[in-house]
Amino acid sequence: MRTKRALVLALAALFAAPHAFAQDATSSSYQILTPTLGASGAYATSTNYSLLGTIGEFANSTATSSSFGLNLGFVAFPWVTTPVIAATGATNAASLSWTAAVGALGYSTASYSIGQSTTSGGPYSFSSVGNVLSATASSLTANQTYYFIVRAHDSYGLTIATSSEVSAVPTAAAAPPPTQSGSLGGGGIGGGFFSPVVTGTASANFSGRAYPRSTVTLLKDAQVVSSVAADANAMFSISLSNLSAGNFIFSVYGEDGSGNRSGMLSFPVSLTAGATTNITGIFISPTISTDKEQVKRGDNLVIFGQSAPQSSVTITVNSDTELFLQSKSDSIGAYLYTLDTAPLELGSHSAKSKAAVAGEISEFGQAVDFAVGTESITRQATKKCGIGDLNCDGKVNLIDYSIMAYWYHRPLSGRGVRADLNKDVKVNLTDFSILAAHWTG
Amino acid sequence: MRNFLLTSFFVLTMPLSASAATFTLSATPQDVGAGDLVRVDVLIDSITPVNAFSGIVTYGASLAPISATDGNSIVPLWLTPPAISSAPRIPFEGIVPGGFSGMRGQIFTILFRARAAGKASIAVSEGEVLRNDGKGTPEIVISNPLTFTIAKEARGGYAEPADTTPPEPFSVTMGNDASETAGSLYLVFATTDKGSGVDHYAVAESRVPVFLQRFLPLSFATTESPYVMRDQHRTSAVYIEAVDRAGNVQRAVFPPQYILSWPEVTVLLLILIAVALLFVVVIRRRYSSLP
Repeated sequence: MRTKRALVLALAALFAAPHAFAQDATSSSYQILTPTLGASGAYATSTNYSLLGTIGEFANSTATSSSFGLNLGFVAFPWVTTPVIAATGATNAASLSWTAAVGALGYSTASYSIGQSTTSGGPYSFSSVGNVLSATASSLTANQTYYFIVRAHDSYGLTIATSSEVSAVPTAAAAPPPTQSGSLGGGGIGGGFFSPVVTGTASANFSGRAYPRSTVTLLKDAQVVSSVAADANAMFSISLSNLSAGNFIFSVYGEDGSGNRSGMLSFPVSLTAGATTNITGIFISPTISTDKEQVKRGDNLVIFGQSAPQSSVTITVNSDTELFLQSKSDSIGAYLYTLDTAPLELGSHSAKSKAAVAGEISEFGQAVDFAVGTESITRQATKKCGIGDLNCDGKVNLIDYSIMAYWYHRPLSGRGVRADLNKDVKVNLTDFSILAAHWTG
Repeated sequence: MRNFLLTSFFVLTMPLSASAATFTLSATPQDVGAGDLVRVDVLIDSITPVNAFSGIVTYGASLAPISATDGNSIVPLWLTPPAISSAPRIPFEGIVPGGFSGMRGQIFTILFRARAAGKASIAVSEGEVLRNDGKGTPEIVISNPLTFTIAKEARGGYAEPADTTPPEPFSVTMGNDASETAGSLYLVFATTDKGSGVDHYAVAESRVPVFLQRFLPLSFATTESPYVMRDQHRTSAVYIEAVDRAGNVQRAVFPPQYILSWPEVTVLLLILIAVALLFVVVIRRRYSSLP
């Protein structure tokens, strides 16, 4: 009897919380008022704990964790980011690579499958490739355009994300090379991305969505190679030619009208001589900022930023109880959420956002920090020295790397103290990792 | 109820998506004989985006290292570039700005010569990989060692392909506020090479216009980034060359910022003033000598 009462109390405590954050959901064709949340669909996660489904049938103390977060609420649902796919035509084949579909709140990608078609938009024939980030479609007809998509699956085989379509044109087999002495070595178990003979040039096309009229910057191996403006619909495209064949890390980020930058989206690409690689479906994460650096507890905090027009924007606020807030961007991509800070505890917090539109979901962007205190402090328009910007020029690039490298494993003084980004009184690989994560080129 | 509990137990105990970065070593060719060259690629697999790698490659006495190169590497910036030494270990430490996630990302390549028949073994020890999460969170590291058998007879071995492509084009940026260089102006630069790897950088400073350089050729000296400019007045063009192991060259130029330095401007002004004064004196004398 006592156990039953305890269970009832535990369930009541668990499912009382979500109603505080549940929101009405509406569309042009339906409206859900005061949603009632059941146990199923509620996902509880922490770094070392995952609970799927109901917890009502367990006895006390069977579920424990050193750190535990319970994400309940109408907008707390699992999701996964949309992979960005790249395709390069090869000899009667196409090389495909894609970014990882990163899951959250219960989702994790267990495998991928490749859809292939000779018609844009499909229907596609799918083949499973396992939990890898590259594959080769072989036995293709030369000079025929093939279209590919990649699907991410969970451990039950369910599709949880689908990339946009990318195309590639396989090339015909080259004429036999003239006889040469020596051996090029067996293929064996070697390989990786290595191109055995480095001749000729390659080209690459990048396309996706950012924010309307925003600046999109493309980096090649950590150096800026192009900056373009997105159009009114937030779409952008960049073409690079005369590139060497080989492995590249390309990265893109966006900058909105207020000078706020998105997180950087990176993808490794292996370029082939004489071939064009198309990278499509790039979805740059939203920018984010707040109107106050510190907000008096109970006052409103305005969280805003920019994304693609008419996007559904999910904002997470890092707190004792993680908050998931929903907003929608307008026709110029601007979004705004007014947060009542009464439920937030005093201290430091951060917020980050991601966007979804047209079936694509971006990754989370960079986080903005704010504090909840006893008085409000307005955020300054621009913060000059960001993390890793050791010379305070508004960029994190080779100069900052050079300054940090000077202090590497040296006693710290002067600017060396600023180079110690994680404040452990030494400059080591961890500080370089933080610098690399905030790189702007 | 029992079924439910069993199902729940299964769900709860289901392995979570294990996150780990794996160092893999890959040999080309696989069939190696005594005296053959063998190429070993140090590769990284990571689903989670990571941006910093370090470790030490160790190898047995049956292998003699010829070179360690970052040709076609995903790592553009090295704190400790891979290099061979007298010790049978090759430490490496580098970062990938923006991060890397994927399979078989090439970190660097070692070229060995198989000394004698027997077992060859190579491994990555003390491996460290950090996540691209802005905190430098350590990722779990798995290192897969490589072992293969060296046959008595030579089998042909690995033939290094010809590299006719220069290093990637790069830009040169000036730093002007570093206490690390005692306030001196300096240049920073870096590039990658998709073939044999960057061997070294060389620098030359000159005020000679390009069309006259055939008569007064540039004199290059080996350098590295950051380079403290010899001409702190910025009146010289600074030519930086990246040279790969095959001798291919990619040149970048940091153009002169001023035509004359301030001491030169001062001297020129003094000369102009002196000439003007002389002119005035001459004119006055000429007029005063008139009747």
